[in-house]
Amino acid sequence: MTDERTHEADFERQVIAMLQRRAADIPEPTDASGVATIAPRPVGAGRRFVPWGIAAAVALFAGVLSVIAWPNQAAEEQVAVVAEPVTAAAPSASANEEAPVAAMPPLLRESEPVEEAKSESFVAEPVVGASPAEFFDRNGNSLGSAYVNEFASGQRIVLDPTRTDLVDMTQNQFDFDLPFRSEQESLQDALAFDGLKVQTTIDPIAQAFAERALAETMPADDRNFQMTLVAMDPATGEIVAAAGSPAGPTATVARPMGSAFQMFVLGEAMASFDVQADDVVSGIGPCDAVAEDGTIRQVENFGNSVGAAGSVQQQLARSSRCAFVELLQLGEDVTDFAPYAAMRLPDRGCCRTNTALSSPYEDLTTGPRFSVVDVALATTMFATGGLQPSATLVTEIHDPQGEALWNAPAVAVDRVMSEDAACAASSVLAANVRTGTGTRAQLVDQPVAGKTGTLDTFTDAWFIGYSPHLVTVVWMGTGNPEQSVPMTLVDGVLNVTGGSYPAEAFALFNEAWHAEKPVIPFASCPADPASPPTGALPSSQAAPACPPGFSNAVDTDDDGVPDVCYRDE
Amino acid sequence: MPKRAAAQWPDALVQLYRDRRTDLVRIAYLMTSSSSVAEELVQEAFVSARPHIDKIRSPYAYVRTAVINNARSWHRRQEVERRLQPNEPGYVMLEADEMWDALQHLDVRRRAAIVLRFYEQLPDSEIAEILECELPTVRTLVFRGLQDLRKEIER
Repeated sequence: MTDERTHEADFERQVIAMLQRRAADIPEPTDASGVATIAPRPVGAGRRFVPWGIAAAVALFAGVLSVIAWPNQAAEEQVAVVAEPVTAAAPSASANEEAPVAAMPPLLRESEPVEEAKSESFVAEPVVGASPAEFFDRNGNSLGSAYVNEFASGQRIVLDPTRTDLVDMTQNQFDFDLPFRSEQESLQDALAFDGLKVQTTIDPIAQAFAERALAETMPADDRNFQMTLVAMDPATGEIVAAAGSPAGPTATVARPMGSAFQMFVLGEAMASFDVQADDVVSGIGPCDAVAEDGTIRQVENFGNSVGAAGSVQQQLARSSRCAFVELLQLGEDVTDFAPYAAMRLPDRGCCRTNTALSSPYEDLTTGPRFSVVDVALATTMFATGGLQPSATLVTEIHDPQGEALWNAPAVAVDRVMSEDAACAASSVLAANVRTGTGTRAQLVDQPVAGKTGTLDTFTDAWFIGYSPHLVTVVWMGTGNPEQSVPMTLVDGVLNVTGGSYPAEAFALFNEAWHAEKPVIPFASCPADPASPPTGALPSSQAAPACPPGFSNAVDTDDDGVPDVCYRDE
Repeated sequence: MPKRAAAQWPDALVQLYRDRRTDLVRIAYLMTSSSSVAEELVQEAFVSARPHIDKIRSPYAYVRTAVINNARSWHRRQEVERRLQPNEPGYVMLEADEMWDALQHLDVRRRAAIVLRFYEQLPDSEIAEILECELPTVRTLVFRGLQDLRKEIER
């Protein structure tokens, strides 16, 4: 008896030791992660908000949208404003600096009208060899003017961003590669024109939804954080919305994708190596990875967690890096593996960006550095059942007389993965939105698939997602790409992960955009129970539609929302 | 649709976040074995505490309870997912830490009882409150939990 008791006490001690040992997997915040070094702001202080860029955006679109019924639309009049560059607009005050309170996001602060923004007319600096051009959305509404440079090169168009909300504020340029070679002479002539008209693919309604979703989601903070949303029609590659908050979209700035990269590793593993959702891989970390140069590198899971073995689907839902290291090593030559084939994008389509792939192993920890636009383009292959178009923002350029100077080439669509693989990947990514890290991205009716990405340091957070109709990428990080500020204690409490604000903005935007869209399954995915044609497991407000083949929804936790469906007999 | 309220967070929660967030993430991690899920669950718990903060006597206890509840719903959702994927094998553990492996096979209520008793060192009465059950049930949960762990290890 005594022996047994001793034995029991021993066992309990072992249990305690195990729990304490494992709890230490979650490290104390350290200087290295940047978490502890952020001095928390006093509550209610430090919420200075710079409404500048948003006011500009609102003003820009308010005129456009005056015909659309728009609840709570604060700004009715169109004000000519200049969106200042981010660096000037948002002083990166030290984190604990006292500052006036602005408790609500700008669109909700109805007492503060847009006049707060300087309503001066834009006077652009003349640019040598440049020609001012006006930009239009697809309904013929003006989006603002910009200077068009470098026509003389015959290759390239560069927009001076000071006046259009479509361009990247921090890089000061947004480029389009145009196949002008054969038309060089007419382009030389084009320099003589003032008032070129540039027709874009921006859909004013989608753009307005995007602006609004960001404005409502963006937390007030004085550390110069920035959100960018790009929405792309996956079938045509047309960019239908490109928005930023509080400044314009930083859609062409490459930022590390973090674990969002796993969705592309998944796609390649399924497309080229016949990996299935229920194949079991080890996700245990730290793990060793052989780099291109033959050296062995150690990879840690997010937060240095240990992880476990599990199906590919589970590993993706857990964002297990070591599981994806294992998948990466399926290829004989790692540099040839991957997403890389489909993601080698910078030459495809409209938008020249500084997207860069580094080594696959770095890519699995910090993720390759990709621009929001390029990520959107890469994601189209999942939404279309394996096809990838070119990205398109500009469709036509006219001279002031309306004569067409340039037309976008017909959309070239390449098959980059098989239908089956695209469908299988969509199923895994849809499950991740239902129960994994991306649950806040759920839509009431439409099926959604996607992946979160969060850097260990909380400097970048992504949500990359799609419905059968639309690809949407949301990035959140610091507005100045030179600095990387950890997004901790944003809005008082949260560590910003891809599943938080970015997924929320994704859902707000897509819920509005999909309001009248038919509910269809993912391309080539007709009867897969893992990607049911309706909105899958319920979000907090959605009615619980059990997927086909399942019924008898049960509310197991009495929260009023059924959460279990049983397979039909 | 999650909709943000006004940006102000109550002092008590900010203080709690600063002082105890890691502790809460550790509990969530012991419950879920995934640090990223743990992070999410803790955040959700903070968010859920926010509207009630005026009525909460001990914010830490409140958020801890929310973390345990969130972890239990998370396990339930995982279970549903497994059912929707009939071909999918359950967890296959390959780790060297047998006891940790065993913990992951535990029924989630037993797991919660074990974590609260042996990691958080809570008295049974508080565990009963968190798990919303009677006192004797807590003892049973802990007892069966330990039994299961032992069985799993000796298997």
